[in-house]
Amino acid sequence: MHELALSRSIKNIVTKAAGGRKVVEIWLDVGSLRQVIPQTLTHCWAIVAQPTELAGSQLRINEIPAAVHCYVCGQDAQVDVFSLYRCPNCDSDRVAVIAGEEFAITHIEVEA
Amino acid sequence: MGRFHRHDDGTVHSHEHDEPGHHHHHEHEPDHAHHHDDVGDHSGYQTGLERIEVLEAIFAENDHAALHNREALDAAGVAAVNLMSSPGSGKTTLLVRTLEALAGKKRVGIVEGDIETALDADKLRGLAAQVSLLNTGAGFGGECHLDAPMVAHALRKLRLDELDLLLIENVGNLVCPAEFDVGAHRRAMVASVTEGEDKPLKYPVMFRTVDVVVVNKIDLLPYLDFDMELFLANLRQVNPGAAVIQASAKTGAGVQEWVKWLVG
Repeated sequence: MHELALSRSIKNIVTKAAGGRKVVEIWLDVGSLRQVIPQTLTHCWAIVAQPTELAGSQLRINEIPAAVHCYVCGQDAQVDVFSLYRCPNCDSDRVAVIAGEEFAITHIEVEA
Repeated sequence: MGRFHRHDDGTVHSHEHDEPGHHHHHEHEPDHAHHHDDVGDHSGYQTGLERIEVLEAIFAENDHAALHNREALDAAGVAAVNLMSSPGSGKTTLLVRTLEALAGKKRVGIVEGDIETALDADKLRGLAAQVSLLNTGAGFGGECHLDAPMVAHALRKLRLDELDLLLIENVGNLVCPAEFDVGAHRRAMVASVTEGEDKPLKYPVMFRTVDVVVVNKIDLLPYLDFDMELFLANLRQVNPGAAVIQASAKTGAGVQEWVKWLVG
């Protein structure tokens, strides 16, 4: 339940980026390793945005699955969050996480 | 702006990265662009909307504050450890034993994160050189974790020049504290044998971020079905590099090994 804290960070970043313009949508990349529940984040966002000039803006969350690169078979593969560190193709444990840790605001949509 | 191109007509494209298998740490690469099949180029997708690229990590503000904390600690020559665990793991008792073991050898400060009370801080006062209590329930919105700005607040109440070691006792929780760099140099966690063998697999994000795991309450092993080998195998699966110290804060077993890790 740190989505409330995260919403406050989002508010600060978006307020600065918007430069006073009316924000309609906020697009996020959220990796599945980030322990963020999209519905909870959306709910918290509504609460945090409500008393501000960002009231009514919508979070758009692009969920990115976790993936690993295997140093043994050379392949990249999507993995379950709970079976990290194991290549689903060759069962090697010589893998590196290459996706799933994203947590960034990519862009916002403002009224022209 | 990295892989973004802005054209004369104002449209923006991002390019897919094409090197398979390279290692990404997106939160540290603010100019790293992603390709979104469902996002693409929105210029003109809805009249009256304009796209502004942001590409800013949501943890950037916290990480910036964490960096400042680390700089302040470094300047004073203080080594800091972020200590995390679930509630009831015996973290505070381990801290008491730690302070007893280091008495007269190291000047230890404690940052105590507690949602509402001063109970833990009261146990530690008198043993530690300095204690800074952060009630996360008051003024910080009842947070379930410590973040870098909170720890910055706690550091201002400490005389860092008079400390050698700072132990930051995080809020008891296996989820949220893992996400926030507080500015410590190393991360430790306490996992007690009463919590079961499966915890590394259930909370992989926490277990994979730490440098050491203290497996506490081993004095209870004769009364439990806890399978130490299975726990260690599960831990190695998510964090092959973590040091492991089997301990009992109650009997004192393993405490010397833990203290050695702390001052090492």
